[in-house]
Amino acid sequence: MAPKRKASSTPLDESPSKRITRSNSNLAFVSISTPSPNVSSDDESRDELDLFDESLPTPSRNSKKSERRSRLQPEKSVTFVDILPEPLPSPPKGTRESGKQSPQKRIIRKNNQLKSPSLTPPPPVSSPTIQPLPSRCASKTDGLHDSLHFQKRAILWALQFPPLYLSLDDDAQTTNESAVQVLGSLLDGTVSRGEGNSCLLLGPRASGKTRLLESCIAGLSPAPIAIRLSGWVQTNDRLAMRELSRQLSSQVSSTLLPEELRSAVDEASCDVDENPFLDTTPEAIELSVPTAHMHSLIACIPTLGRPTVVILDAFDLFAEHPRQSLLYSLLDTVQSCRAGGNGKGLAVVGVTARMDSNMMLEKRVKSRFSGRMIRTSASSTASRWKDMLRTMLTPQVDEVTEDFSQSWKSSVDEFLADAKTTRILEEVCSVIGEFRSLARFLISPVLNLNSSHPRLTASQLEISIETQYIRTEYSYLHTLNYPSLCLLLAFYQAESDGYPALTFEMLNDYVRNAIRVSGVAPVQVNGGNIGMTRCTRPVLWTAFEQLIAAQIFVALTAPSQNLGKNFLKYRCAVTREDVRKSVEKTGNSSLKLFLRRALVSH
Amino acid sequence: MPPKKAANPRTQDHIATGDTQPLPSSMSLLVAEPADRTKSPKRKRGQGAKKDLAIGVQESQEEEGAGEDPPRTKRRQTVASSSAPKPPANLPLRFPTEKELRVILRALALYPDQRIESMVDLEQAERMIEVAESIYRKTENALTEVHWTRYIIEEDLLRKMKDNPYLVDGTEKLGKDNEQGQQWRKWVKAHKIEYKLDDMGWNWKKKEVNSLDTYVMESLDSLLHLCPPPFIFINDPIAPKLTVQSLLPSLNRGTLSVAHIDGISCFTPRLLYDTVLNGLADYKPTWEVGCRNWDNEEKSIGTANASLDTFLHALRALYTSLKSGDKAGTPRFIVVIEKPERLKERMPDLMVPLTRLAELTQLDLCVIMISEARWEDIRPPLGAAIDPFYVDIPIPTKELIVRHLLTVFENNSDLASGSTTPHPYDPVLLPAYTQFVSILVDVCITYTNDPHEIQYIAAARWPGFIKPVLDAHQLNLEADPDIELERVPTDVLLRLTTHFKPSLPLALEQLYPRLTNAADWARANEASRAALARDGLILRDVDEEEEKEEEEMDVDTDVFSSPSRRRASTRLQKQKVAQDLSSSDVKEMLPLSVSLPRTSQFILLAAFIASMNPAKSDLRIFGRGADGQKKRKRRARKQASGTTTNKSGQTQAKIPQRFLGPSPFPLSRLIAILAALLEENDPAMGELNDSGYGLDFKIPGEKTDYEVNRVGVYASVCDLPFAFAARHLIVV
Repeated sequence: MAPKRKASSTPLDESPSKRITRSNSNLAFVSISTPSPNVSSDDESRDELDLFDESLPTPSRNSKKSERRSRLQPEKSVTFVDILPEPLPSPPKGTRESGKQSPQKRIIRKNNQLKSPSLTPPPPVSSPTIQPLPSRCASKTDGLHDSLHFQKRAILWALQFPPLYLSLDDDAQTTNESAVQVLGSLLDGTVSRGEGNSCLLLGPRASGKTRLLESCIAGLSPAPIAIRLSGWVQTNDRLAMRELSRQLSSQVSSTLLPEELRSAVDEASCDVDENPFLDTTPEAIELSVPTAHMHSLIACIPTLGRPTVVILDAFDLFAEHPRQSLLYSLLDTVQSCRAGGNGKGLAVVGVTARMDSNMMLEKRVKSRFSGRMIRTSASSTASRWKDMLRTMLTPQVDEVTEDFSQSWKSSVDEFLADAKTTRILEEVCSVIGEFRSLARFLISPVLNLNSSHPRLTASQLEISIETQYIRTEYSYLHTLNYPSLCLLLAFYQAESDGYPALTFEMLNDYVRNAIRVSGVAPVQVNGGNIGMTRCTRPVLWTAFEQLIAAQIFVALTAPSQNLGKNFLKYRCAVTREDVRKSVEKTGNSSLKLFLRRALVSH
Repeated sequence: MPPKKAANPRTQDHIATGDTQPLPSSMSLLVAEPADRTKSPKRKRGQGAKKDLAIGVQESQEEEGAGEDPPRTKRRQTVASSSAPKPPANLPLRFPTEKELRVILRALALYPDQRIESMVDLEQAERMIEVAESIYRKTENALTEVHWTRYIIEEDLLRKMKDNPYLVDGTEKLGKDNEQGQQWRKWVKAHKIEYKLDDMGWNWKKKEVNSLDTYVMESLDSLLHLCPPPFIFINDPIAPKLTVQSLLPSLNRGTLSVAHIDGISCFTPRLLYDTVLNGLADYKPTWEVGCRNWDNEEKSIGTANASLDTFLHALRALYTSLKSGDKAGTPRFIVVIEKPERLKERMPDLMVPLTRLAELTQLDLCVIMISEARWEDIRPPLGAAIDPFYVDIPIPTKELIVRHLLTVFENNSDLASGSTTPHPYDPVLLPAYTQFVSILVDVCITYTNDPHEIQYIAAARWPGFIKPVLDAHQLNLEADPDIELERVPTDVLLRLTTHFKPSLPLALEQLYPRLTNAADWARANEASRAALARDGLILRDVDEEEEKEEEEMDVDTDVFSSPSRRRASTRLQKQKVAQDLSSSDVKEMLPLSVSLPRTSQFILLAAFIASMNPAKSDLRIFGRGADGQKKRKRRARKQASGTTTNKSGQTQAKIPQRFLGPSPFPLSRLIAILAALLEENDPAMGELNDSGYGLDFKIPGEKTDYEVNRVGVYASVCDLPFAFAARHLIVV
């Protein structure tokens, strides 16, 4: 959004507990070191009252003031070192402060159970020294904002495409490095010597298999014909064959294609006449290549002008195709490729995360497969990750000034040196073990950078992990409306009574009973009735449907024509403990009473 | 949201008391003073406000610990013991110094700004009024600013205490003959403050574009413009539609190409592919070109919707054509998918390719799914889909809903700005609408948090609510064509509120579950002139007779028409309710005796008994001995508690049949039960002359048997489902 809006919204983001102290410090700051033009720019003489006024967190005023200032002093140069607050000078101080923050932190973690997670940044737990002074930032917001914008974009880009591996100083090779070497030499053999090669690229999710392969292919010369098939898209051999021919035709000039393939491609591209309104399943589409001809067509591939690399993503899915005819054809062609013959090379690389993919192959296919398996791995040590993070967080950005990038680098160093960050990194490294997730966790903290919080903090990273990975279930329960909570409580009570699955009629009965019981003995506090509010059946039904849409209530049977919707059985996806906690958190006394009664009835 | 919400009470403390030392003492001095005026209406108001606040403030109070200032504690004590004696009146009252005075005035002047951010704590506001009044009484200082602020504060207070409407106007309190009050009125008039909405704190609307939680939306927006991850999942349990609505407009700038897909309308892969491509290309199929879908102009790509492969190729072709097109910069594709759970049901194979679309096409592409359900419920098995970047939309709070409604009002007034006749969405009416909305949201927030639903209810009620004002204006227009619609005076607003308030819960009960539609409801609940005149909302131009007539009419036509006074007799009301099809309970309103023939009624009854009872209980219910007496046989129940044990050994309570719904039954059982019912309970059966049949029935029950096996009975059995299906359609 506009920079102004961002700047003016800063007071809202700050923790309430910090407000008074901050305004104090602000006040002190202004009274001590405000440059004189600012003072003179104000209409009235600045006495304490005016200072008090300024320290009030009114966004409109702040922004107005900043506007006025920027108008008054447009020529003043902005030094970025000034904007970014000074890094913590010495480690002992940092540890002392983190010790001080610990109670606050604990509170945050405790609340997290039911707090609705969102993109909203947590109240920064940073100490006042780290906190930039808002009055200083407000006047210089534009330069900082722009620089941050470019920096953010570069970082987000880098986070999406993390480096495959980080070359180390010592001699030990990472798994991926050796994988690149092996695969590179294999493909080189195909391209330069016309070999027929086949291999499997195995590795856990997000360990860089595809990127590794692509980088190897990109480094080959002359560039081979790359055919990319994916088991998710080409769900059967016909589709795969058709896609193969299409990709071939787009990469090879049509005249070079052998006769059979060309006709197949022509047919593939000329099914425009097909009635577009006919909604046929992919299997029913008249295919250009009969399965019987498949083998002979694939056998033509080595006769093309250039070497070919066929990439089979999700290889295990191809192995699940009936009779594995595509795999058989491909691997048979590979095997019959003779080095030094007339044909060019063909390489088939299967990419999969499934470790037993080799076992899935039929005997005739397996015997044609070379059995070569190259492994990739993302597992690494936390310190290695830290280095990777550093390179990703400090990308080369041309738009920003030298000063800014310097101060940014120092702030990143400080972030990485933080003890908490190290702990988080170690946890993520040992529990999740893939780098892509860590990059995902960093999106939100990077996104939340703004001119008043221009630094990454470990606590933000922690909150982000809680939102992105730990994902407390149904964290919004306590903010649900009254009828929905009534229904959840009715389920709670019914479960105590031994009904694991309920119909709406029964829930309605429970809720009505509860309301009736609370109305029998009206309790009045301060002249107000604290009994349960009435809730009509249609309103309750609407709330019920909303809960079904949110899949909190899950139907056990499929809807049938004979049975009314209100007689279908549902089970509740929310655990009893969560219901109890959220009801206690709502602070609605009548609902709490309901809960207590439900507990007693058990 | 949490930080913002938590900030409120503190901010208030901060404002009212400040950090400077002298203020608290002066506050306590000033607050102590009005407390001994027991008779003043303000005392009552204080209680009312306190009661309303009780729940809302509670949690924030818990957070405030030691930092509480003395006057606040005192205040709460006095309120908590509502009729308890006042604090001693002999507190040393000190005239505030000039400095303190200025601090207080500054705080008061800031009030409107605070209000914009909806950070107003009413308790604080009330205290500020007291302070302002004390200053006024002490200093006799006619500071117009303070009065103006007071006016606003009092309006706010008024909104909170719907039940105790004492204060109407800032000036009224000063007394009609009060010189200061007159001066102030003059000042207000001279400055035409009624028309300066910005002065009253309405200028927030200029800042807000999206009515939803702006912070989440802004970060999402900036993420999409900077460098989005390939797959984002947004979980919004309450109002996903609203999220989509507020997300889409912000995306239509820059080089983003956005396709919006609804899981319901795209129910086949072909439709999905076409919608995505047309949306990304910003292409609308027209009738003139035969409703063709998007196609590359230079090089035709053939049918893009044939399969996933062709779709991916078409996406790439589209990307390259956009890249080389007129638009500067590289394009970025955003695919927004609403209701992805439907896609999962219809096309489970497509879920994985959709999440991996960026990877498959190797383009700058981001797929956003917005759902009420969690990703865990939609996710394809085996970890095939990539992990999304999660965004959680919190449940809308009251402030957000109010803000959304006001934004809608503004849009409406923009739309209707061309009309010359007065319309309910005139910008001048915004203050009145604000009050209306806050009352409405207070009523509805307990039952629903969906801004759309509350907006629907508001749309049904608001035109009727403001109609008396518009009518009055219309009359004035006839007299003087140049007169302009003025801001609704507070007393009129108050009367309107008291008049229409009882209809708001009714609106919720009927419109939220969509028992009727907004237009019909508004028509049915139009306020009658008589009731309005009684409440002093329109001039009593109807004479007595007419009024009486109308009242009778009122009773006849609709009991709900004047929600505040229901003078119709209970009998009439019940009858009305029974006839009103949009009333709640189906069972109550079906007048069986009217609509069905006698035999059909019995068939219906027999069917109900057959479907709701197990077959083995028939003998117990209908079995008779030879002497015609009911057999009373007690059987010892095998399972006393009525529990069943399933295979796994867990005991499960058996759900009563009435909660499980009707069960199927054979026709013969229906006929048998019908016979039993007719035999015992049909009075007409005995009265019929036997000779009419020309048969002689000797054995008891033989006649009934004959009766039951008529063709007519079977015909009725066949007819009944149709009759009920039709009726069901009418009812629902």
